Amino acid sequence: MKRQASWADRLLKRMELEDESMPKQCILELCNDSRVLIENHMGVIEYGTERVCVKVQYGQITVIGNDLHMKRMIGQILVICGRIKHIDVKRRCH
Amino acid sequence: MWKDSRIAGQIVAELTSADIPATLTVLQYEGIEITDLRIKDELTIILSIHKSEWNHLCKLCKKRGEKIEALSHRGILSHFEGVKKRPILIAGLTLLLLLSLWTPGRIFFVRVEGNTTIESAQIIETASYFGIHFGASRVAVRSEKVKNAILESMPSIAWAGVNTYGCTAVITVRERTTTSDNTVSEGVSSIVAVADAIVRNMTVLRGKGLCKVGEAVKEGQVLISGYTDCGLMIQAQMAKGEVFGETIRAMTAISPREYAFRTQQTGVKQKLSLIIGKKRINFTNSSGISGTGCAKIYEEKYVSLPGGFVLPFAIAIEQWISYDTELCEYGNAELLLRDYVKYSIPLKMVGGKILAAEETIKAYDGVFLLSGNYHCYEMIGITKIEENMPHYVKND
Repeated sequence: MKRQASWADRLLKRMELEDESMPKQCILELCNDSRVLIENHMGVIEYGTERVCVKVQYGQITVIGNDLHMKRMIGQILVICGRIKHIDVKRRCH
Repeated sequence: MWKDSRIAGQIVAELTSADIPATLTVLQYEGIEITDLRIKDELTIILSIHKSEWNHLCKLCKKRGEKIEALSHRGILSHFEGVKKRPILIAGLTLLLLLSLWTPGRIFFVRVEGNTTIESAQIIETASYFGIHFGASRVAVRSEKVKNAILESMPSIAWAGVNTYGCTAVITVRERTTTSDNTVSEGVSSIVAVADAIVRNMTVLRGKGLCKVGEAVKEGQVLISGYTDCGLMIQAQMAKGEVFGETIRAMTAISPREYAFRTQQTGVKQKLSLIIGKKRINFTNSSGISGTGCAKIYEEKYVSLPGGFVLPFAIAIEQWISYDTELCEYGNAELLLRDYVKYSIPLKMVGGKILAAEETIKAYDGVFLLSGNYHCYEMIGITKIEENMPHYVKND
């Protein structure tokens, strides 16, 4: 079943700003295989050296790797360093 | 940026919690910045936070029943905080800073230059009354005022000047010179022969001539007397005139056959000394006597402050350069000896020239010996002060 687009999504589409990031939207940046930046997250769900799970607006993001550690956590910005093997995005069920 | 940087100071802490992710979420919502977060074990993490947020974190942990413990401090400011516990060091550094600001504008040493007969201490004492003393401000020194004071209190000084170089004040003086003409201005004097001679020319300007042209005179004989018989009385005065005559001068000169000259450098030795004011501290104790095969380069490097202020501290560097020497024979020793005699004989005369010479040069063991007789035409009269003046003589 196809999900109905929200009014904000429809507005962005109308204004041709689909590719631009909006405030409060989660941004995930991967730098090589050693660092990942998650902006606008909603808290850490799970934290370990091989698995870091972060809650975001639409679900959760799981970073899997070796020797993972948080390099920095400032407000809603989170920098995870280590050897990243896999990033999993899990959408919340509506 | 200041908050982010580690210059401001960070605390490395160990946090023990039953639910680490929940704690991190709370910290996130409280806006506490966390860096270098590492897992120690399942319940413990090690994190770094800014020093200003430490109390906030402690309160949060206490409220949540978690344990937090500071492990170490990082950052430059944290290191400086350790200095706070050392008051003597702080006092010393403060004193050093104050001195470095205060000393360039002060006078700590006074040097006198150009004096030969007047004591330096006397000049320094006079200058001290007019602002040049230990610790005096350089700005307050009025060169003109000190100069006038020195000239007024010491008539034997013709000129004086004051300059400051860093912490040293240099008083440069010039003493009055007295001409020899003024010394013999009074009394009775005669002109006597300086050597055995035959008088060839004679001019009497004052006094009475006691010899004639063509006459042979002996050394010390009075040629022009200061006493003139005027019939009723004897006039005593300073004799004045010129007497020229022919003399014979004997001269002997010796020159070595060989001389040593430096060929190639064999080594360099450096000696250091520390100069503090007028004191010198030698770091080496060897003597400064050098042979013919050794050259010396001397250099003084003074310490100066920004702005060109020279402090009275210097490092003296002496370089002793040793050379190989080689002996070489004089090719023109006879010429050198003749030249030497030609220039040295006129120096012994009051005034005159060599008319003829009879010279013999002989070579002895390692030396050349020149002996000769020189026929000269020279001024033979010199002034002699009469010490015992008779009571009946009337002085003009």
